[in-house]
Amino acid sequence: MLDIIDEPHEMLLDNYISNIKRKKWENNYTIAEETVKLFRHFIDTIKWSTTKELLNQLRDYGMKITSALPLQFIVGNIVRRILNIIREEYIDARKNTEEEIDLQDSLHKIVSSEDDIDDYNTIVPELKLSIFEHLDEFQVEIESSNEDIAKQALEHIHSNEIILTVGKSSEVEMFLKKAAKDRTFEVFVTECAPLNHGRQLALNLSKHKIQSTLIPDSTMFGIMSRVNKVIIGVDSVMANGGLRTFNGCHAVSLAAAHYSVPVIVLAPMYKLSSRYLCSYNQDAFNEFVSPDGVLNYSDSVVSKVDVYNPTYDYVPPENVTLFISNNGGHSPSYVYRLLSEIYHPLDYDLSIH
Amino acid sequence: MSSKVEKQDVLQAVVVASFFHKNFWPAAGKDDSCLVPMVNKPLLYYTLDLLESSGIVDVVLFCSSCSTDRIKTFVRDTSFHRLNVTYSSSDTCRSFGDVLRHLDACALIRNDFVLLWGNVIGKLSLLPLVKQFKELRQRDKGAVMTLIYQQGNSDTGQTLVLSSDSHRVLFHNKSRGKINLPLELVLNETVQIRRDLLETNIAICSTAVPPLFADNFDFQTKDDFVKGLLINEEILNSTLYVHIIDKGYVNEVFDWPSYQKASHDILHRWSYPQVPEIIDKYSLRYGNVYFGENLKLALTCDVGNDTVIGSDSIFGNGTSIFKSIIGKNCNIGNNVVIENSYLFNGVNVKDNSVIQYSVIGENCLIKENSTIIDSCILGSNVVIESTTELKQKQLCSSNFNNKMIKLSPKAYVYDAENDSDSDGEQETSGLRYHKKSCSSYSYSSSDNDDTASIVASIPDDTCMFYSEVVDSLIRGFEDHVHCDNLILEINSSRYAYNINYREANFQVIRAMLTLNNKAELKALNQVRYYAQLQSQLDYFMPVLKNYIKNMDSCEDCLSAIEDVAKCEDMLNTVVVKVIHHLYDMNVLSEESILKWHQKDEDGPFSKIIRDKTSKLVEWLKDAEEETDSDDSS
Amino acid sequence: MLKEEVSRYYSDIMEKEPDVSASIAAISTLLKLLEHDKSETVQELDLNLQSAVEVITNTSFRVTGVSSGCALFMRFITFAKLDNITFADCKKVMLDRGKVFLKKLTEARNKVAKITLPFFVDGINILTHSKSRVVLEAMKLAVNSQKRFHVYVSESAPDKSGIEMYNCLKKLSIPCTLILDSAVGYIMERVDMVMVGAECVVESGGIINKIGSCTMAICAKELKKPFYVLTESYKFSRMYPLNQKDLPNNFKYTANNLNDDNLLNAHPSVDYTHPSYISLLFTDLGILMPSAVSDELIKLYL
Repeated sequence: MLDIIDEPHEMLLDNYISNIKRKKWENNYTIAEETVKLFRHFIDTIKWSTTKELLNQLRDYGMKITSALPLQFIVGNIVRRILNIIREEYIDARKNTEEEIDLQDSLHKIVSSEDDIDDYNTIVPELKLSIFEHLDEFQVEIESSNEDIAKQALEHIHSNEIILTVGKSSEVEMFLKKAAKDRTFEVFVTECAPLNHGRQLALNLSKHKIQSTLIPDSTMFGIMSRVNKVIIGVDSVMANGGLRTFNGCHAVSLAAAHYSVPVIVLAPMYKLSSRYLCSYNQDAFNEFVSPDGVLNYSDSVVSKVDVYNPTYDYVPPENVTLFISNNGGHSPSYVYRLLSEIYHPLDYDLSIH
Repeated sequence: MSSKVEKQDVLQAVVVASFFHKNFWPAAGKDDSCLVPMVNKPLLYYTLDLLESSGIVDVVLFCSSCSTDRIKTFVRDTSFHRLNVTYSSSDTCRSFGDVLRHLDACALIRNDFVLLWGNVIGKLSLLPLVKQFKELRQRDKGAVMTLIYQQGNSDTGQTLVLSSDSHRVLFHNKSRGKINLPLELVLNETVQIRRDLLETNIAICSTAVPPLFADNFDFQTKDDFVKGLLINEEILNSTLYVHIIDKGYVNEVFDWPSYQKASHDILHRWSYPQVPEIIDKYSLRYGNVYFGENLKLALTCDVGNDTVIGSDSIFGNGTSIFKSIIGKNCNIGNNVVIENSYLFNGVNVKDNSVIQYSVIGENCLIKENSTIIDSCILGSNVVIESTTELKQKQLCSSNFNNKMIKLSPKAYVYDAENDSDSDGEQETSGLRYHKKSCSSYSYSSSDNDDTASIVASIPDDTCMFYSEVVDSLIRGFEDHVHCDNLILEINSSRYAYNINYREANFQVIRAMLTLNNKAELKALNQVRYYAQLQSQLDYFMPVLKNYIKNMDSCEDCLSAIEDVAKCEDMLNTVVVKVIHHLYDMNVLSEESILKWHQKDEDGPFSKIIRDKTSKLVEWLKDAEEETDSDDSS
Repeated sequence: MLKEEVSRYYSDIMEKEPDVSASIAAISTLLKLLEHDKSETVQELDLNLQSAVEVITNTSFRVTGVSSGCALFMRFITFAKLDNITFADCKKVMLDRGKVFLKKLTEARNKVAKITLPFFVDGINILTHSKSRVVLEAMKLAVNSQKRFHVYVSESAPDKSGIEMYNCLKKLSIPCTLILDSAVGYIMERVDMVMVGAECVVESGGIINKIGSCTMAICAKELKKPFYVLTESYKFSRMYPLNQKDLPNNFKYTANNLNDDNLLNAHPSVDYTHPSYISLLFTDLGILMPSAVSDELIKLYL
């Protein structure tokens, strides 16, 4: 973890970016924690008197790291969440009267306001303290998100069911282990080539006395007719309810749709992103890593063949039945509402001031 | 181990940034070849990135004094904060061995270190390898170096014999073709004999290596070192080990063909995470196309696969770019065709030009309607005037050694023939390019390179068959192989390529007449040439007799002779003698020769050859009449 | 007399400024009326405005977008705090707010163009229907940001507005192709996305747009191409049509045709596209899912 006392901010940002680029922090959970820590340090050490200054400075830093790491959606999520926390605390502190001040831009806003919305320019005492409190709550929320999701396991998994999952996701693992305490069920895990992390999940589950079977990705369709539910973890949830998840999940969701098998997605709130998929060509969406997993460099056909090894898959919202997040279950068409609760629309584009 | 020893365990790397070759000239000078841009980032960047991502902190960078400033500025400007770089430079080093002796004298190396050149691309985690090396040293006190090789996929011309369990080097030879292995190698233990290993020039060395170089002044290159250690094993008491990377990618860039291969691999993401959009600001599109920022591409501009376009570049209408790497701030006009080329930063290409398989240095200006194709290398700041055509040339912007041919005020062509200073040892190879008409891609030795030019328009299979037959015959002649075996070989080639009977005869005769390559031919004069040819023909007589049995095959034989004589002057002069000789040996019959002579062929050459042979034909006719008259009488 | 003036003023704007949408023209007309109105009470003013709206909807121009814009305007001015003593002061307040409102609405188009920009990927093929000023604005911004794309425009009979769109695109030197309305099924496999404007957005999240949009949407859904709608937020309306028949007649037919009784033989000029065919709506309030539209409307009217 970073030793962050007394180093200049540029250094910290650089270290942070290079840690993520070099895959030192492997999963989203670690990245989320580190980002919160980093920004907490910034809020502590930046010299600010009005909230507007603080917001601008943080947006600057946010802009730097999101443009250096365009394919890590989680970074943008956490930054926007923190900015929203600051805005909320400010509004709360300024709340002198009547109406519930709706932060969203809406027709109502256009109709009812006289000039532009509050500029965040007034000095509010003790704001820092309340921001830190809220950030602490947020950190706790991130840490306990897996458990909160797992608490809902008993409502969704029933006895003697056959569950299919793809690859290895920590949310799914905890979810299944929690359900296994009271119910018996069977799990099929697809391997998820070329990294084959499904193997690890199958091993972990069987150590926990859950009946699990490891299957190669290609046989997924064959057994889909016997599966009761598909439960998958994700990298991010897009703003339209679509998913950015392990490669192979799109095929799994289509097979599930064919056999009318519900697809349940476990996604903690910090994985909700405000981004949309702009094109099926998946520029700026998918990360293509070394083809080494697919074809060996020492293979003689290498120079004559184009080999692609994408990391993620896009699953459109029509193929998802239910999202389970730390505060309950939602349908994909409700995602926009969740977004409006945790992010402020002014923060969607971090480059405007 | 005690904590005192652990404190010394800071891992060091030694990067040799001076390459001692001029392979990239004129695009990069002799001393700053490590700064030649690879996908718009200097080569040295990739090496330092590899070290930083492996976790190595202390780097000793050796460079020659003239380029030290440039390299220092470069390292300072890039974001290698965590690397602690010490610079070491010298004017007097002329080879790799000199560098290590210099470093030994400077005493900068305190521990086991990683030794590599500044031209390595890829991803490799070095810390586990160093740990392995340390363990190795505890087992074998004399272990001095672990060489790192990449698993290749074909014959790389380097033979290594390793012991199977410890991967210790028992034998090393760098020649292509046949070599002799001493039998003792295989008698004592199980060995692996490998020819598929690609050199990465990365080695993990112990502190004993620089003193070894200091003691033996004749160690100039790493190969000398390896050879020396193997030969003098008992005296020097040092052993070498090998580590082979099979999952992962490391590549070394030392000349233009390897540059081409490495950039192809980077664009195809083999070197992930050393890929353009992570190390610099690019966005990846489908088909391995990388776009920089702030580009102004015209609406009708066509960008093909495997292309990189650097930031702030401008492209005009109707331009097509394919499989090329374009640097930053380039300004390309309308209707330009750029294929398989590398343009460095700041290049300006005006309308209607064509650039194929070439390297254009920084800030060059290429005016309208120019054609630069077939492996031209341009240095920086060259100005090419309009409607110039350049093929296979190397250009500089000023008269480098006062022996260059002037094309225009800022373009001087390197004249290889007049340059007596050049070290004739190595011919620097240009970019590899293929002509679209034929792909006579034979893996055979260099003997066949010239003959390949004759077969330019014949379809592939026949070319392959022809070259295989030539191979067999040359080998047969050198090794005195029995002709029956040769016939077997030729027949099997024939079936493999599905050549019909007459075509096979034609090619076999052609092959037989073209066994010498150009170099040998120049050395021979007519008499000796004929003597050699005759000895070859005599040796192959059983083969000839096997293939030339009837009229048709005699015809093929003669047309083959005619075909070869058309191109080869030497044969041209002795063609009559050859035909006579074959007639004497009863390979060719009279009728066939007469029939061939009477054939009315087009082309001035056939007339010439028939004129030459007319005398022979006259004599034959007389002889016929005599025999007839003899018979009749 | 008032009615004639209103009608004349409205027709003037519609004819002389083709760039202005019907709703904005209506709102300007109402604002003008507010300025010149001589009423003494709020209720009288209200009545006058209502009758003006009726007049506008009865003109020969198409009426679809007008009703929502007018409703919004009415809501806006009546939302003001009218605790002032004199009516003149009240009117002044209302006038000021009216001007602010109008200003916000005219900037809406630019906002929409900006959020659509990331969706213009290099080399994309877009299909569009009829002439929409918002779509044109978005494409203009995209071309100025160095994006390269190709546009297919369908003719949109019977008023051939597609041809106008084609000419506008040509002026911006965007490569475009004009296709027949019947060729939509043919061309759909070649395009990467469909982008249309809307005359009205209904509460279910569906849209009312030039006839032919519904067909295009169904076709796009079948071939899995995203169907994007670009619209300003003042076009949101409180209607909830369940099928094509539910659309009010004055939307489908212009005032002239309405006077003939034989509507069975008249050609409607708009149709209704169900929200399940729409992928995303780009508005000046941000990028919305069709399911979010009703949320917005509730926030406004309740």
